[in-house]
Amino acid sequence: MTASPGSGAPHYVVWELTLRCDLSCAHCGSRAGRPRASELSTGEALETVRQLAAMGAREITLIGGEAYLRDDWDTVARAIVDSGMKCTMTTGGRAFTKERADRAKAAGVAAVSVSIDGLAPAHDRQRGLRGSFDAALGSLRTLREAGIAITANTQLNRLSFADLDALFDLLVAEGVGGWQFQLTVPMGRAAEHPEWLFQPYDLLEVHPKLADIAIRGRAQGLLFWPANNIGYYGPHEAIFRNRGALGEAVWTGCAAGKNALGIESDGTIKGCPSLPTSVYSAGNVRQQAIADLWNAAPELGFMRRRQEERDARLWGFCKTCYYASVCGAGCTWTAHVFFGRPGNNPYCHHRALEMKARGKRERLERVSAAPGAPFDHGTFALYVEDDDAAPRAMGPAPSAFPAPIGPKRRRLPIAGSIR
Amino acid sequence: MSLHACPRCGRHVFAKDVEARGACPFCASKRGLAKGVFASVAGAAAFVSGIGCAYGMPADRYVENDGGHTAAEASVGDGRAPDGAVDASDASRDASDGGADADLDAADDATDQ
Repeated sequence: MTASPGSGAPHYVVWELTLRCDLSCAHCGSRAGRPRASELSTGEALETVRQLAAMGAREITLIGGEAYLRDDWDTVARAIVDSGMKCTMTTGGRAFTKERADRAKAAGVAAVSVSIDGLAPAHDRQRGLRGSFDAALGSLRTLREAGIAITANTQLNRLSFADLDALFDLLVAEGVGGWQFQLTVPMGRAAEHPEWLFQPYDLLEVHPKLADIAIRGRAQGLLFWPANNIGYYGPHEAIFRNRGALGEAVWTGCAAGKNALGIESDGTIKGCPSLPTSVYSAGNVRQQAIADLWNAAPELGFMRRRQEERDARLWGFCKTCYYASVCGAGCTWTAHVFFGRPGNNPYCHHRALEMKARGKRERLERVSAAPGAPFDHGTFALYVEDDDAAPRAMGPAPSAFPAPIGPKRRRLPIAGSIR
Repeated sequence: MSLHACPRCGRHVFAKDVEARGACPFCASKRGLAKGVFASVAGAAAFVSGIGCAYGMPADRYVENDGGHTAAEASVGDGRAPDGAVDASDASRDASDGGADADLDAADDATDQ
């Protein structure tokens, strides 16, 4: 708990190999589509691999955009494997063809996670392309045929939630070995769809469902994997952190810059690939050695600060929470993209339960839109209202969602109004 | 600091609170203490930090699952490119629309009114 900013190692690295993408997902945090203006050359990418291996990285996940749209993606993958690290990939799966799957296999890619955000109607709507669900499913099968371990990842939101049971059956039948969940948060294009986002009180329904999936999944070989914004310390914490079994692993705070590292395709370094670039960029591999950035940049070392320094950034509910000292307000990215600063996370099961115990619930409302750049975000206001305010129905189509209503009791401060 | 799950409600409790209160602060259960569950693990539980970022799932953390597949089922994918898929070399993919489906966009517009 007293690690200095210079300690630790980036054991796990997520690398956006290119921002070019063959989808235009409506929830894409990086607004992928076009490549960045100055993406790393093959030589620079291979040098980056060398540095990461020297620093003790154990696994690198290649993402995009769509990583396979870069011509040398498997050259980089092979270099990662040859350097003694695991290489995995995450894909939207629009066109992971047999040729690409074979290249991945030959390069030594250990596993590929395909994004599937519900059944076809919900998935296609979020992915912005009719047929993208079928394409993703086809990519899963192609990868499996090529002998690559397949996993899936799903955006959890008001569009996908109703499909989880059917999706569970489908993924088990397809031989998927792991299923990762992430709550959709308002970064990038997702900030333009606040009606798709869960309200904090929705977690009272979402998390028990996830626990059920985790337990059933373990029994059927589909291992539950919570993203860092699933939590925290509710009654299902042990199930979530121990992959569907009871165990002693618990959430121990954001891993950004502690044992994780994110790289953007132009060489920008962040503690986590999802963090807003404007605030969390520590530098660029073209200008400085990654180890130097890791050891010195405050944008990477904020989770390695002393306990009291980390506690000082907490505010709102999280500042007074029972778990504040170990939780640290959960996922830094999630808190930041809602309120423009870390330290107060509205997506927390424990928090929702505490509110309910008081006869209250919290509701988020967007007050400003995102400007339109990769990894940008809008700002949201948080209202505390009576728990008996009209509920919103879960369902597959936004048109079915009644607008959030209810008495406004108290608006909590948002970024800019508190220092 | 050690956290332990209450055997009754599943909520995690700091060991120091178990010792001070003698019961779970969330459900008031003394069952754990009575059975020695809290006491036996106090101070001993490991904090395990799982890396569960938005993208990755470390390869050594998942299990294989054949899902009951038959060869016939497995052949369905067969590396086909999905309808409407484009080649990586297709320069049109640099267009910022990224392949967005106009019909879906229109549906969004309609339902967002």
